[in-house]
Amino acid sequence: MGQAFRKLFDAFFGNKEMRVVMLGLDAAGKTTILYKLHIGEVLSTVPTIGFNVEKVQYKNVVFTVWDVGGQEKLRPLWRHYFNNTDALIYVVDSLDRERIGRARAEFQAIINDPFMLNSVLLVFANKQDMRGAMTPMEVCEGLGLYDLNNRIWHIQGTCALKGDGLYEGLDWLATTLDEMRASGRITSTSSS
Amino acid sequence: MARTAAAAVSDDDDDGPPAYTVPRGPRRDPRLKDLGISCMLNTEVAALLAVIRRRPDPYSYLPPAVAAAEEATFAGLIQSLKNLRGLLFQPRHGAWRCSDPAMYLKPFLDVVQSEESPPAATGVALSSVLKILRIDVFDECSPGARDAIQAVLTAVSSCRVERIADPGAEEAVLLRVLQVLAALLRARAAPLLSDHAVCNAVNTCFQVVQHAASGRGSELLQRTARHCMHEILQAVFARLPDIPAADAADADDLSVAGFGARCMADIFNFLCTLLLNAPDMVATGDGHGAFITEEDVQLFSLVLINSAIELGGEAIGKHPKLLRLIQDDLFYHLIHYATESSPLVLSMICSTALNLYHFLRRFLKLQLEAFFMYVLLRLCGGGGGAQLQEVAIEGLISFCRQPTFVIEMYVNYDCDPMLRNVYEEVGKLLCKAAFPASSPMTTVQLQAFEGLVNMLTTIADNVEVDKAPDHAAYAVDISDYRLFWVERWDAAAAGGSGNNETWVDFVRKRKLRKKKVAIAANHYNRDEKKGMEYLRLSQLVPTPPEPRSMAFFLRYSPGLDKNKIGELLGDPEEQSLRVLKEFTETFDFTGVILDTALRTYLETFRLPGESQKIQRILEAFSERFYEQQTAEVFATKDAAFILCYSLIMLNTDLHNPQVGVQVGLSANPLIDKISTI
Repeated sequence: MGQAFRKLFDAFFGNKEMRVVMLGLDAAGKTTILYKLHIGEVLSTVPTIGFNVEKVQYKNVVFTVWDVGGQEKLRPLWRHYFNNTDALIYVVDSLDRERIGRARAEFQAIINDPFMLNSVLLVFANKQDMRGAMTPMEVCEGLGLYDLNNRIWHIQGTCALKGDGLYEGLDWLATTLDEMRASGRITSTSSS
Repeated sequence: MARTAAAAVSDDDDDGPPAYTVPRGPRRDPRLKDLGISCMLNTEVAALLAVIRRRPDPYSYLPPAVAAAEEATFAGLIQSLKNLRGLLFQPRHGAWRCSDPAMYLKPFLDVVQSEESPPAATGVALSSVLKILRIDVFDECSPGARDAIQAVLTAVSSCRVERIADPGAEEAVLLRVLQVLAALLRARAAPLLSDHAVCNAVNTCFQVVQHAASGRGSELLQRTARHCMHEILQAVFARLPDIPAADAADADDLSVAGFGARCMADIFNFLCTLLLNAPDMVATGDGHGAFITEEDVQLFSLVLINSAIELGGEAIGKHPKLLRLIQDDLFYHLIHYATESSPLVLSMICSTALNLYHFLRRFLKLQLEAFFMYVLLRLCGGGGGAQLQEVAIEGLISFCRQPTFVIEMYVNYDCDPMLRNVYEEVGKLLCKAAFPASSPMTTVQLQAFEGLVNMLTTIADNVEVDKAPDHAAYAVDISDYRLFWVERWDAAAAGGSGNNETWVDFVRKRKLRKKKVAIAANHYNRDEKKGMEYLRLSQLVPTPPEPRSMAFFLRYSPGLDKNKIGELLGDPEEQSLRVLKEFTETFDFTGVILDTALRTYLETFRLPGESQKIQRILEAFSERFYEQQTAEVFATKDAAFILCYSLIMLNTDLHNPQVGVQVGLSANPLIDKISTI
């Protein structure tokens, strides 16, 4: 009875933590996305020198999002941050048709890292407000999402400057997390 | 007796005039002087023998066996003294000055070093040595003088005072030790001492200072110890102007072999260390530490440092090692302690800074700027409380009284695009402090007013009224671009060293450009595009844009927002990449270790948080650092880059409050990754 009550209590009141890494090519909008997600939180009075890291609470999930590097020679360093990561957010500049191939190569390399095999994948097709932007479906094709096997993924059109689409993405992450927990799949999620 | 004296005189006559003559003072009969020295030495020998033989209780009866044993203990000492006495009045070739001093010093030094000597005998022996040194019985030209003076130091510094049970007797011996050390360093033969010997003397003296300060000595011993420390230091540094510059000294090391700049650098380093470790020197409950308060230590070392600077003077500038101690260690401590100490310590610090300004300002441009901005102006503005404010204003006015202060500050700081407007800030502060906000006038207000009067008087005294320029002369026009940041006045190009007007024009243009830079920085902070537009309109950067000029603007503009600098440096556009490269090349990392170099680099702008920007910036840094490294620490440029990148990762993980569970900070796997570089 105590155990059952505890689980029920957590389901209603406890916060779940989710570790997220964010990747994307230059100027895709990663910093703007983190900044937008940050609004509402208390800003640090003394900014820390180093990579952008934001902790975002949305509904009852606390996301810690790191902006990590995708360059090949740096991946050995970042791999330890991939370990136990719940989700990958990959940001694509929808205007940048020329570099979608590079984004695909980087994206595929990251998601196939053994440490990332259990992570869910959320793609932000950013800059959707701009004329000439690729549609989310075109971005799907460009990244090769349709060819993925055994991966849970989602694509979300966004406009980071206005904040459009960002929380829809987090919604999907939170919902997917709940579903994974309900289905008993192994995750590193912990209650706090 | 008469026959003996007559014979001595006769022998001297036969040998001709003495080989050595007194170089100064009225000429005296050298034979009489030498006889005087012989009598003095005879007196000392007699006194020492008497003390050695004296029983603790002269009326007590000792069994013959005990008396004989005691006599045997001192037999060696007594015999050598008797032998010396036998030589004193014998005919001799040449004066005392031409004799080996070891011959007459050894018996006394043996007593000093002996562990069996009664304390009184040790004291008397030290007195004898002291007298010999003070009279200058021998000097630097005497044969064997080098070894003799070294032997004196060895004996004195190894004198055993621990065995003396009676505190009074111990103190008497210590006082003599101090006096001998001071006389030793002031003796005419002192330059023959080695660097190591001089450091040894200072160390011995400081041990007595500590001993006295730890409560085991009387007030008299404390004061005498500090006074002797001061005397020794003065004697050492007074010689600095006579020492040739570093390069020549190295060549001469083998031949001269006297003490030089090296021991002075070591002593100076010791004083700075003393200042640094002031808290550790304070006595604690369990008896460790020697000084009463931190302030006591600071004052003690500052007084000594000040004397060293006063005596060394401009000569310090010829010795790079000594100069570097002042530029780095000393100024760091002065600035660090000035805002956290008592008014008395601050006053000493201001005096030290004034001395450094007077003698060495050509070498201390950056240090003095820091001292003015972070100490004087901050405290004068009330940053440290009313007491420190008064002391700081007094210190500032001491600078204002220097005849060339106003002109030098304006030209060297206010007209230098890379430095702050120190003169302007001083003027503003004095105006503010002097403003009659209340009545009656406070001390601070009166002092500040005096400072202003000094400044105005200096300006008035240096104005050539007859040559006052027309108003139009001040309309300086900058019509073309030039890379003015690192531009230096070229007298040769001005076509004649006598023409000061061209130089004045140069300085005026420089000042005007500096003002425009400040305006451009202000614009840039609010809107980068408007800032760039203003830079072009003002000819601060050329048209078309050139990366180097922009890099210099970002690097050297005071007041530029570091966030903005970081954003531009991290931008992926081609022009920005070129600016980043030029910006990085303004740094000189030769001989610097990686973490210091990286800190220096990252202090000049705020590193953006986006990973690709960090990557580009660190790649530029690593390339520059790698090509300038002197030791082959990094096999490739990439190795340096990956290490730097890892450092930023770890810093983020450790310090960013947004990081929840620290992921990568299980350092072992990451270190394994790094070590495979």
